[in-house]
Amino acid sequence: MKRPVLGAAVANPLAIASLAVLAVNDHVLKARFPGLVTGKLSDFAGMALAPLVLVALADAVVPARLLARQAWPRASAWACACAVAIAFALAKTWAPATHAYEAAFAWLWRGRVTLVRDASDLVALPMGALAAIVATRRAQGVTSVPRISNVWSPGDGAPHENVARPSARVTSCAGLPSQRIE
Amino acid sequence: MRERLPAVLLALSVVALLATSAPKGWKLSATITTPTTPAAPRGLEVAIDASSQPRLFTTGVPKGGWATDTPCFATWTAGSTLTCLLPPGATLTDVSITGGCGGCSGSCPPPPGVFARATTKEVDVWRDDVTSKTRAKLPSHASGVSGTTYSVIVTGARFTEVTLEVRPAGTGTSAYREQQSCERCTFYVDDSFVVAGPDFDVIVAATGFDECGAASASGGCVPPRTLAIVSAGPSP
Repeated sequence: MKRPVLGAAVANPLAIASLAVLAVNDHVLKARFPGLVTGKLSDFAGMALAPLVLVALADAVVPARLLARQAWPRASAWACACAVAIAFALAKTWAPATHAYEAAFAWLWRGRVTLVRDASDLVALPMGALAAIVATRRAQGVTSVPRISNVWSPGDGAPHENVARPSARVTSCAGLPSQRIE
Repeated sequence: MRERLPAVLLALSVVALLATSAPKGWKLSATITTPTTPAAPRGLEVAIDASSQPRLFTTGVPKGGWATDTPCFATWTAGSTLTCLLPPGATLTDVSITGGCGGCSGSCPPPPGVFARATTKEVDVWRDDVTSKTRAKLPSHASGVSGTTYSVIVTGARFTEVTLEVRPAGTGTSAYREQQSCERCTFYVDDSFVVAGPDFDVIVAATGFDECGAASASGGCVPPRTLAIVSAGPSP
């Protein structure tokens, strides 16, 4: 089993959009338009991006025998999403976790970091599920390309509604069909 | 280049996630007059004029928890002088104001018009101590959390140091002990400090400091007995 290209899990529209939202919102919008929307926007983007980053890192470091397992893409995607969701929920609702988060980032940035503990931010948690679904579909989509190519060929007309065109599959994998070819 | 795009995206994503909590702001430290350490047993009164809420940093004062600054128990309002009292033994190290910056630039100087000045003087202070002791079953919290949060409210002095200590009932052994400088204090007693079952003595000790009246003799005065522990118990 070939290991996925480093970062394959973040090469998709959801991750790229989340990355753009994080960058723009944190560094421009929050300062210019402080309020409910900009306050929540980064939570949504972060909850979508962080699991995909974790999946990408996990894909890079786990033993090959784990990668070879059929259940790995789904298991890793949901495990990463759950891990991020739990950490996020704790940091947003539980004082010791908030303090630990602040201390970790204060150490990292050599300055005081304040995390607003706000349970209403948990509204962003479903983005973790979306990220897990995207990560799972990405992996499954790429591995199924050879099978799909056997049942569809250009000129066949509209394929069966449950069978995607290869080009659509490739697009959903961020144009990187070679990421996870078994 | 196309082959490297996922790795570049991953690197950018990691940076973006970490940078989302990066402090992007300016800090302006006040010019502080001497003295910064009062001669015992006197306290230090700090008068601060600032364009925004100032923070005090000291040594020799219990902070507790993760706090890095020292509380001023007076409330800051724009345009007025904030006067804080530090207890004997404290050393004032910094008074500063901070603010945020937008944009991606690393340069973030204080904007025009912001200011912070601090003047200090030694003052005679009184000291008073009060203690409360309650018997409790610990842990005492809802399911889903792993510790008991104790709230303590103390009044009657301009500066208070509060210690919360948990001992198995009838013993002198401390299972948990923490000291903070606070009026409304929160102590988190993790379950790992207490073994479920036996009763515990929860001892709250508050030490208050306040300025003596103008007619007091130098070196201190009799405390007016205003210091009180208003409430101390586990938060729901």
